Amino acid sequence: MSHYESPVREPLITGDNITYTKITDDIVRTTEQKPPLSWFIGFGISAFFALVGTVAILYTVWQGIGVWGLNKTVDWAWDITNFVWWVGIGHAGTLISAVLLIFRQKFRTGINRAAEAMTIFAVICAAIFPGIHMGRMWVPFFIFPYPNTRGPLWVNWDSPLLWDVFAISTYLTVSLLFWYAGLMPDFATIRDRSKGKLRKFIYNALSFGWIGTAKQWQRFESLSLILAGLATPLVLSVHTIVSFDFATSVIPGWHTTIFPPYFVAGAIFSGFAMVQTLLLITRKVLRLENYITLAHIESMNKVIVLTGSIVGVAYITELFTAWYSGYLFEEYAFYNRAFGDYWWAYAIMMTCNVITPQLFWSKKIRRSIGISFALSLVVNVGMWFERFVIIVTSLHEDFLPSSWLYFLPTWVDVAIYVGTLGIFMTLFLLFTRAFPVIAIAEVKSIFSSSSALARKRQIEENGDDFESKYGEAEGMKYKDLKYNVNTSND
Amino acid sequence: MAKDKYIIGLFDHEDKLVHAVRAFKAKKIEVTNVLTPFPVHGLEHELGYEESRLHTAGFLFGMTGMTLALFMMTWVSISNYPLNVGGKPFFALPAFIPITFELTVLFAAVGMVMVYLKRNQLFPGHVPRIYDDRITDDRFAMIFKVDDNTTQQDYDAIAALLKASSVTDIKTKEFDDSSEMFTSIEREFVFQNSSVMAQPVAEEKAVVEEEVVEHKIVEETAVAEQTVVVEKSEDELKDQLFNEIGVVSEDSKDDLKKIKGIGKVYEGRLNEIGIFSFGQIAKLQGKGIEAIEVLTGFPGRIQREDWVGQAKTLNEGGTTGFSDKVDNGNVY
Repeated sequence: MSHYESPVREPLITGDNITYTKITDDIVRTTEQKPPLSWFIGFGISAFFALVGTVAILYTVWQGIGVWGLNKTVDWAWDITNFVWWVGIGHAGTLISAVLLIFRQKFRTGINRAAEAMTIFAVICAAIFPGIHMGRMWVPFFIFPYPNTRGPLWVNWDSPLLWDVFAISTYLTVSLLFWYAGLMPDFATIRDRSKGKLRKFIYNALSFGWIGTAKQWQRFESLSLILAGLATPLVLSVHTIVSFDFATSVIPGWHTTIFPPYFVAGAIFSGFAMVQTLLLITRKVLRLENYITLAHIESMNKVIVLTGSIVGVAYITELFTAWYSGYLFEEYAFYNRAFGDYWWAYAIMMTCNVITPQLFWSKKIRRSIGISFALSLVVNVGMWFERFVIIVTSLHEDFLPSSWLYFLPTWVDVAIYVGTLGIFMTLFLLFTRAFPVIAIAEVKSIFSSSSALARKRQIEENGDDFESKYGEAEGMKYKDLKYNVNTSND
Repeated sequence: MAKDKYIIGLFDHEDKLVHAVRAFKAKKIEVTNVLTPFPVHGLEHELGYEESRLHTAGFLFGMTGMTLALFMMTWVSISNYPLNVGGKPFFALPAFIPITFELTVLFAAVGMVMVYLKRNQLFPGHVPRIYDDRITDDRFAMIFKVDDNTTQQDYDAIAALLKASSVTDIKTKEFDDSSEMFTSIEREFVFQNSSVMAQPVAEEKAVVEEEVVEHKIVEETAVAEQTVVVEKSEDELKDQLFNEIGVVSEDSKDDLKKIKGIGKVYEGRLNEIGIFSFGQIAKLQGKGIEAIEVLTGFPGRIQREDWVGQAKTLNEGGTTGFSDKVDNGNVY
C-alpha cells in the first residue's frame, strides 16, 4: 500500500511513461548491452592509471619508502593524506543508505546503490595506504591481534592506530553486507530476465536464490533498518577514530578536541561531492535521468552546503582557539598554516571548501547540472588539500628550526595517488556494467507515492480545489506544482 | 521424486494484491505464499505474520562481540602482556571503548546477516522455484499449493475469488525435483481427483486459457461492472434470485455435487446463498444466473457447463454420466 505523500513534494521519479517494467528495463539494460565506446575509453584510461599505480606500489615495496618525498620532519605525508581523503569519500555511501533510511528520506533510493559501491571502492583504495606505508609491507597481518610465537606479542590496545584497524575493517565489512543485502533482490531481477543459461546461473548464484516472498521482504526490511541503526554510529565512529590518529598526539595543529566532529563533517562533505561527480556522469551516460532527478541533485547539494559550512566554522574555530590559547607553538602552527611556506595550499583549501560551496545557497545553482559537477570536483580538490595542510604544515616546521624543511612529493608519491584514482574508477566502471546501478526494488517501492505520475493523479483527483486545498496550507501555487511535475531534466 | 503443484495468481499492482489477500482471508481460503517485486508495506500485517525477531539475534550477537572485546583486551592488558605506559593503569577502560564499540557492531552485523540468510534460505548456488519470471519485475503473485485433495471445484473457487480481486493472470505450475535447473520445470497439470480427470490435458489448458482471455475483457470493463455491483446490493440480488427460483428449506437438500462443475467448495457457497435443490437450479434463467455469478464472483460457468440442463435431468429422477460416477464414489 502506498503511503500518502503531499502533492507539493517534488517527484523523485520523472517521466510520463514509467511503469514497473520500464524501471526494470531502464536500470537492467546497461548490464545486458554491449558497452558504448565511451565506456571502453574510460575503462582503458582508468586501467592504465591503475597499472601505473601498481608499478609504483611494487617499486615502493622493492625499494622501501625512501623513494617517497619524506624527509627528516615530514615523515608522513601523501600516504596518510590519501588515506584520510579516501576514507572520507567512503563515508557518503553508508551515510546515504543508513542515516537517510532512518530519517525516511526517499531521495536515498535513487542514489544509494552507486554511493554504497563507491564507498566500498574508496575504502579499498584507502586500505592500500596503511598497507604500504608501514615499512615492512610483507607482514601487514602484524597489525591484527592473534596468538603468535613472538612472545606472545600483542598489539597496543591504547593506540588510535590500532583502533583505526578495527574501525576501517568493521566499516568495510558492514558496508559490504549492507550493500550486498540490497543487491540480492536486484540480482534476482536480472536473473529472471536473462535468456542465456550461463547468465542465469551466474546471476542466480549472485542473488543467493532470492524469490521475493512476503516473509523474505519482511526480514529484508527488518535487517535493513537494524543495519542502518548500527551503521549510523559506525559511520560517525570511523572518521572520529581517524581523527584520533592526529588528535591524541601532541603536535601543535593536531592536538585539538574539535577534530572528531570536524573530520566527520569533512568526510560527509567530500563523500557527497564524490557521489555527485560520479552520479552526474552516470545518469547522463546510462540515461537514468528519470531516476536520478534534479530533485536528487538538489538534495545532495543541500547536504554539501551544510557540511561545507560546518567545515568552514571548524576552520575558523581552530584559528580562534589557537589565538585564544595564548600558547606560542599553537599560535605559530596556525600562523604558519595561513601565511607560511604552504600558504598556497591553505588558500586552495579555504577557497574550495568554504567559499565556493556557498554558491549552493542559490536554488538556480543547486539545480544547475554543469555548476554542480564543477563544484563537486572543486570540493574534492579542496578536501584533499585540507588533509595535506593539516598533515604537512603541522610537521614541516617542528620544534627545532634547524631541521625545518620543505616537503615535495616524488613521482612515486604522485603515481601511487593517481593509481588509486585509476583503481577506483576501474572498479566503478566494472560495477556499472555488471550490477544494477540503482536499487531497482527500492525505486519501485516509492513509485506509487513519489513519482511524477503519482503527482499527476493527485492533481487530477483534487481538480479545481487543488489550489485552495494545498496552495495556502503549504505555500505552493498550482502553477509551481505543474512546473514540478512537468519539469524535464536537461 | 517429489512433485509440487501450484495455482498462481498474478496481479499488476500492489494495492490489488493487498485487496486480494483480504478477500481470501475473509473467505478463509489459505494462501500458501505471496511474492512481490519489492517490499509492500502492510502486507505482512494482512498475512498475519509476526514481527521478525532478527533484532533479538542482532542484540545477542552484539553482546557477544562486546563481551569478547572487553574480555580479550582486559586479559591481555592485565595478565598476558602487561605494558607499562608511563605508569598508567593496565586496565584502561576509556581506551578500550573504541574497539569494544567496533566489535559490537561487527558481530551484530555479521551475525544478523548470517541469521537472515539462513532463515530466508539464501545461499550462493541455491536454486529456487521460480513461480513466474515477472515476479521480480512487475507482477505480484499469490500462490496456492495443490495436493491430492484439491479438486477442480477448489480451483474454480480460488480462480473465482482471484478474478473478483481483479487478477491479471491465473496459471498452474508443477515443479519436479528431477527437472534440469531453470528449464522444463513448468508444466500444466490435471487435478488428480478432479471431475475433469477423464478429459485430455489439452482441453484443460484450453479452459484455463479461455478464462484468462475472458478475464482480460472483463478487466477492461471492470470499472463499469463494479459500479453495477455497487448499485445492486446483495439483498436485492437475492430477492431477484429467489423470486425466480423459489425458496427451499435445507431439509430437502440435494447432493449438488452430482452436477458436473459443482464441487465441495462451490456447493458450500451455493448453500450459503440459499440454493439447496436441483429444482431451484433447474428454474434458473438469465437474471438468476447473473445474480449467482455476482454473488459467488465467478462468471460464465453455469451456462458453459449447462448446470440448468443437468439439474433438470437430475430433478426428474434421471441420471447423467457424471452423477453415476458420483453415486459409485468415483469422484469424491
